[in-house]
Amino acid sequence: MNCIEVDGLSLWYGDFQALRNVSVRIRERQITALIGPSGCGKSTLLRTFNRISQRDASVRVEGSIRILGEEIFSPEVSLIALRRAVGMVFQRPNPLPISIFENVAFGLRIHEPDAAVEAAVEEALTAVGLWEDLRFRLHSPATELALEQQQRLCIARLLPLKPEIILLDEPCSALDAKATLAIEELLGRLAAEYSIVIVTHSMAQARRVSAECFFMLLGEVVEHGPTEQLFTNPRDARTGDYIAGRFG
Amino acid sequence: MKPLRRSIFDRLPEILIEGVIRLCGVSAILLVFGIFFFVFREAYGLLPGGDFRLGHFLFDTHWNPASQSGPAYGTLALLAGTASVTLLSMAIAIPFGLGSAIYLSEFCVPYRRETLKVVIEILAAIPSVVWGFIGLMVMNPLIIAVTGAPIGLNILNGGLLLALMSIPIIASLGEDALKAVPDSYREAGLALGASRWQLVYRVLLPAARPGLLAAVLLGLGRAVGETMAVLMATGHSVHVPTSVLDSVRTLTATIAAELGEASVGSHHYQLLFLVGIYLLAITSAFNLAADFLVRGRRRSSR
Ligand SMILES: Nc1ncnc2c1ncn2[C@@H]1O[C@H](COP(=O)(O)OP(=O)(O)OP(=O)(O)O)[C@@H](O)[C@H]1O
Ligand SMILES: [Mg+2]
Repeated sequence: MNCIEVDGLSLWYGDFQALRNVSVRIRERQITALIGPSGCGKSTLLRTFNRISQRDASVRVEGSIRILGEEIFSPEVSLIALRRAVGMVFQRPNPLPISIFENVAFGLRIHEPDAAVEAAVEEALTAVGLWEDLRFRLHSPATELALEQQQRLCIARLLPLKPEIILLDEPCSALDAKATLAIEELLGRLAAEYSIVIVTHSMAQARRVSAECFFMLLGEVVEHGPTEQLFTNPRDARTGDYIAGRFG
Repeated sequence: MKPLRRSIFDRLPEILIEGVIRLCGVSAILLVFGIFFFVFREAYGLLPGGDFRLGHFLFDTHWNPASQSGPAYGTLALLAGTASVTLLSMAIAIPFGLGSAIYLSEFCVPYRRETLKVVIEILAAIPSVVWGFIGLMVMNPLIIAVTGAPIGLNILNGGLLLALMSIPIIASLGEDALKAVPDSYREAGLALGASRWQLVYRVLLPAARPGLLAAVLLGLGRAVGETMAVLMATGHSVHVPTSVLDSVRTLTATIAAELGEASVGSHHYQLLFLVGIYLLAITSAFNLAADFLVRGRRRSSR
C-alpha cells in the first residue's frame, strides 16, 4: 500500500521553482530515503507532505499529494488533522522550552485534552529508549538534554498521537557517529509500526536504513527504486555519478 | 621582517578607546550614586531633628506638611493614590499591550506590521503634558457625561491615560520578546498540529516569558513614575479612594505640585525629598524584582 502519492507536484518560492513536476509513490511501514546534493529540494518536498512549507507566504504549489487516500491541498482538509497524522522531526533537535514530560505530552494536550497523559508519556519514552534514563527527571527542562537525547525526545513526542507517517529531515546531522547509529537503530524498530520518510545527506546512511530510495536533482526526482538496486545498479547515469561521488 | 612585538605606539589608540569606554561605564554608576547622594542630602535634615516619626510618615493618611499649627506628613493616602491609578492602568495596559504584541508578531502581515509599529512609536513619543491636556479637556467632560460623576478628574481618568502611555512600551518590547523566540519552536508546535492560538499560549508565551515580564515591568515603571499627566488628570484630593471615580493625589504629583511652594531647607521641603526617596525605593524594588524574575526564569528555562 502507498501512504503518500505525489502527482505532478511543482513548487515555487516566489519566482524560483524548487520542485519540478515531481511524481512519487511512497510505501507504508518501511523506511524511504530521499537523497541528493545540497539544494536539490529534498527538504522542500518533505516539508510539503505536512504543508509546513506553506508557512512561507511566497510559496506556491501546483499538483497533487494524496496522503492516506486524501488530497491534502483540498480546502476541506484540516491542517491540524494532517499534521497529527504526519509527524515531523527536524534537522536541529528542537524540543520546546518546557519540561521533558510536557514535550511528550504536548500533542495529547492540544488534540485530546482529556486523554490519560502519564501512561502515554511513559510508553513514548520507552519506545525511543529514554525512559530508563529520564524517568526521575521528567520535570527538568528538555533543552538541558544532550543533543542525541533531544532528538530522541523529538521523535518520542510524535508517538502519543499515533501518527501514520513520520518525516525526518536530516535527523542525525547535528549528532556524532555513535548517536547517529543509535537513532538509525531506533528508526529501524519504529518502521514496523510507522511509515518513515527520511531526508539524508549521507548516502551511507540511506543505504544502511532505507528499503527504498529516491534520488533528487535540481528539483526533480531522477530515480526511484529499492535501495540496494539504486546503489548497485542505477538506471540513470546521473544517479550513478552521484553515488560514485563524482558530484554533490 | 617586521618584529612580532608591538610597540606602545601601535597600541596607543586601543588603550585610548578602552579608557573612554571604561569612563562611560563608570560615569553611569557615578551618576546613579550622585542622584542618591543628592536626594538623601536634601532630606537628611529630618532625621536628627527628633520629632520625625517614620511610622507616621508611612502609615498616616493625613498630608498637610505646610501647616503651622500641626504639620501632618502621612503618605499613606498618596501611596493609595499612586497604587490605585497604577493598578487600574496596568489592568488595562497589560492585556492590551500584550495583545498587540502578540498580534504584531504572530498574526499580522508584514506591511501592516510596519505601519502599526510606526503608529505605536508615535504614541510612545507623545509628551506626558499632552496626555495631561487630553485628560483635562477631553476625558474630563467625557467621564462626567458618561458616569454622571461630579468631576472627571479622578482615578479612572488618570488610569486610562497611564494605560495609553504604557501600552506602546509593553507592545513594542513585548513584540521584540516574541520575535526573539526561535522559529524552530514555532515549527515544532505547528508540525505537531497546534492551532495558531495553541501555539501562542502553549509555546510562545512560555518561551518569551522573561522578555514579556520585562516589558510589563517597564510599562509599570513608567506608570508609577509618571508625573505630569496624573498631576493634571487625577484631581487633587488627598484621601484613600473608595471608587474609581474618586479624585486622588499621587506621590509624584505631590512632589511636582508642592516643591515650588516649599522654601528651600524648610521642613516641608525636606519632607518632599523624603517622598522622593520613598518613590525611588518603590521603583528600585520593582526593577530589582524584575531583574530577579527575569534571571531566574532564564536559568530555569535553559
Ligand atoms: N524559504 C525559501 N525561500 C526561497 N528559496 C528557498 C527557500 N527554501 C529553500 N529555497 C531554495 O530551494 C531550493 C531547495 O531547497 P531545499 O532546502 O529543499 O534543499 P535541500 O535538498 O534540502 O538542501 P540541503 O541538503 O542543503 O538541505 C534551494 O535552491 C534553496 O535555495
Ligand atoms: Mg535540507
